[in-house]
Amino acid sequence: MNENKYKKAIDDVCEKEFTITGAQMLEIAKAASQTERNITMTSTKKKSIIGKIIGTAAACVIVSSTAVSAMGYGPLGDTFRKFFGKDKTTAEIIDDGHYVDINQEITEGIFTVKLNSVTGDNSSPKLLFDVTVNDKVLAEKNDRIQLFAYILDEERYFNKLDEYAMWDAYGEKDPEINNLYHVCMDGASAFMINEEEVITAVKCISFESDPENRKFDYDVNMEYRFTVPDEALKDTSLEWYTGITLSENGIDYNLRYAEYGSYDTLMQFNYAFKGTELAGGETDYYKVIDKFDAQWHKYAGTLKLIADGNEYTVKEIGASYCDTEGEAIEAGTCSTWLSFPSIDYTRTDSIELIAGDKSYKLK
Amino acid sequence: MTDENFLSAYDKFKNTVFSVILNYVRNAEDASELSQDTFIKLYTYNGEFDSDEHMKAWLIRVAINSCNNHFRSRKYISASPISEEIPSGEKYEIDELIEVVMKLPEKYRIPVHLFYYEEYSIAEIAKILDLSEATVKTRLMRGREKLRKTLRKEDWL
Repeated sequence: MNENKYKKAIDDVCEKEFTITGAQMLEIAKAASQTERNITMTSTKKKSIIGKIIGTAAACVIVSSTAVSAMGYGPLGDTFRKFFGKDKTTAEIIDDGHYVDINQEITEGIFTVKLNSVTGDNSSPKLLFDVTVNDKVLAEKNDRIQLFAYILDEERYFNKLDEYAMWDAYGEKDPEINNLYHVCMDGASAFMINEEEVITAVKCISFESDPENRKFDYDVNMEYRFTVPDEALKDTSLEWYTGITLSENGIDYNLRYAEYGSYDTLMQFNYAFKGTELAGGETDYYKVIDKFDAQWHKYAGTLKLIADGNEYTVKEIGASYCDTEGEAIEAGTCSTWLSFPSIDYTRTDSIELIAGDKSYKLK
Repeated sequence: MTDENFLSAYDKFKNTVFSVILNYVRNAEDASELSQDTFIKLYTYNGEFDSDEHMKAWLIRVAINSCNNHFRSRKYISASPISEEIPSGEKYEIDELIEVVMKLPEKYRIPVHLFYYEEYSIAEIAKILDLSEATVKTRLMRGREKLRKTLRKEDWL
């Protein structure tokens, strides 16, 4: 945010709307200190105040296999479709058999959170949770909840937690059990790898309505440790590329790889920022990151993908990361990404990336 | 508190108090009354402040408590339909920027305001709002994300 603009706007409002002078305020305070002041509001002022913006719908929501059989529905994928119908991709992945139970349950305070299972594909793993809220008012007032969790390997969880952000997902209420919510959370593909150990730590459960406590966010500390089961995640096609460089405004974006998954086609680019005109002599990337991200967003939005004659526009554009110590990528090199809709790589004959009037052959 | 000290504090912190309350109640008239209430509490406060920053943090805390009490006294509102709009009756000259911040849910709005207007750090906001730093960090991140989606302007990124 442009904080100076915000400051100025707020100061202008204060200037116009809070016009009591110091002398007047002093008089009011003196008078009030003699007799206890009773502030009353007129009913016309008591209008709708507590606005809640309802965000986008949950990426995917699901019921557990146990619940499915108890309710007498068919295969899990069908149940998934029957209740929610939004996340067709996950339903199809479940149909393909990529779904493994974890079944770890933790209770803390008014919450019981069960990590049910793992599904998804290698680039977009999913964690399925059941959340029971043992608070009548909270459960009554909220049709959905939001769950926040870290998903990391052990080393990073215990030693580098501050460097990572939490994942979050909305969960919707079970149609039959009033205080039960089902959550499907996107996982971290970097750590959720078949046969690797993962720590998932649920840290916060958030509500849109909390009329009693006005707390909204409830901190918890629920740690689940598990090994990603083999076959839990559907395979993706990972293709590495060299020599594909997209140049824009003095910056060379080198395509490193593309991962063709069931949910989307993810492309990762590297670029050097030092010495570029945009950096303006700055060597600390994080002082100029907003400028680089803004340019990347503007440029990436113009790219297109053509697969067997079908044209796809960019689905999502990522933020950049710069490795100053050369830990993950070459020191001083920055990394960014974008995604296109999913393409079945094995069944597609030709794939091209289009940047302006240039075309780059990917398959 | 002496009259002189009170006047000095009012001059320094009237915008701080009014703006944080306005962010809570989104109604200039209520914000004005609750701001007066906050300064009355300052006038009658018997304790001491280590510094201006200490006094400012105290005023913000008192202002937020006043807002919470204000809402608690009106529980019936939670049963009313929820509006995403600023009440049309509140006709102060509102900047587009303030309008989008005001439309953020309360839990994002207040940390965003304290971060960008008061320039408090995450740790300071956590202390004032009695939240964990992780929660403040998450609320700021989500608030900023929502603002970015709404504004879609490069200089806001």
